[in-house]
Amino acid sequence: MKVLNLISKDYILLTNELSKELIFVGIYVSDLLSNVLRQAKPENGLVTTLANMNTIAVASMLDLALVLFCEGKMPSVEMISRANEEGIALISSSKTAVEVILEMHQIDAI
Amino acid sequence: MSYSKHFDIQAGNYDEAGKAASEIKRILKGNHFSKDLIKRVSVASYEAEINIVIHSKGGYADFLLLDDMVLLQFIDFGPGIENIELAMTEGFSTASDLSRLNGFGAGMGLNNIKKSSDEMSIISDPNGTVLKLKFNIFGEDNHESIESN
Repeated sequence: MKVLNLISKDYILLTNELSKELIFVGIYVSDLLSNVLRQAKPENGLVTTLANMNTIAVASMLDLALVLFCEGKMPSVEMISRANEEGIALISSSKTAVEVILEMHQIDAI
Repeated sequence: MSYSKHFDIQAGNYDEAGKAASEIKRILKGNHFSKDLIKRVSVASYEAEINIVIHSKGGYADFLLLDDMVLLQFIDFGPGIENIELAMTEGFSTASDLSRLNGFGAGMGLNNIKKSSDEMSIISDPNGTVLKLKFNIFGEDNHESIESN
């Protein structure tokens, strides 16, 4: 699914316009980066509350297409800038991880 | 073919953590290796680099690309791993609260490294730790998949 199709008042895109066109395939949910490194697959979206530079570094290592920060977590300007450089879309939402997953399932995103 | 690169790794610098692994991945992508090999080397490099950032007094990594293998060594200046067998146990971690806040400390790092590599050796004493990794460029099916548990 295109990142564009997720964006709404509840799912705010933080990266640049180009990132709207990125396509993510499947979702992985975790706040533990070693789990992400082991389980996430290229082009996955990552749903996490972990908003620090290491999250972006791991997303880049694994060629993830999207990082969705839930529970209102916001990345820093530096993180957004790095994500733009790496071609990773960043979205922030006030919803919990479970709510995000349920809504994605409803719109056939996963 | 032979290509080598050296990376210094700073202890405690979470913002810079992953720079060496990121550069190693870039080199491998530039050489058009398989996605599987790139993922395995990237995951092991990242975990090993993070280990030095989190646990050590600082160290370095050496990357060597040969015709049929990728060799990596990560060396730090202490304080060493007290019990390697325990450190290899999934879930065991001595990571600090700061590390956990940064998303680490799951106690899976060394395990992830072992599963990603074709050969791994580790020696450690209070003066430091030497981690050596080998990745076969060909015959990749022989390794245990990182996605299997």
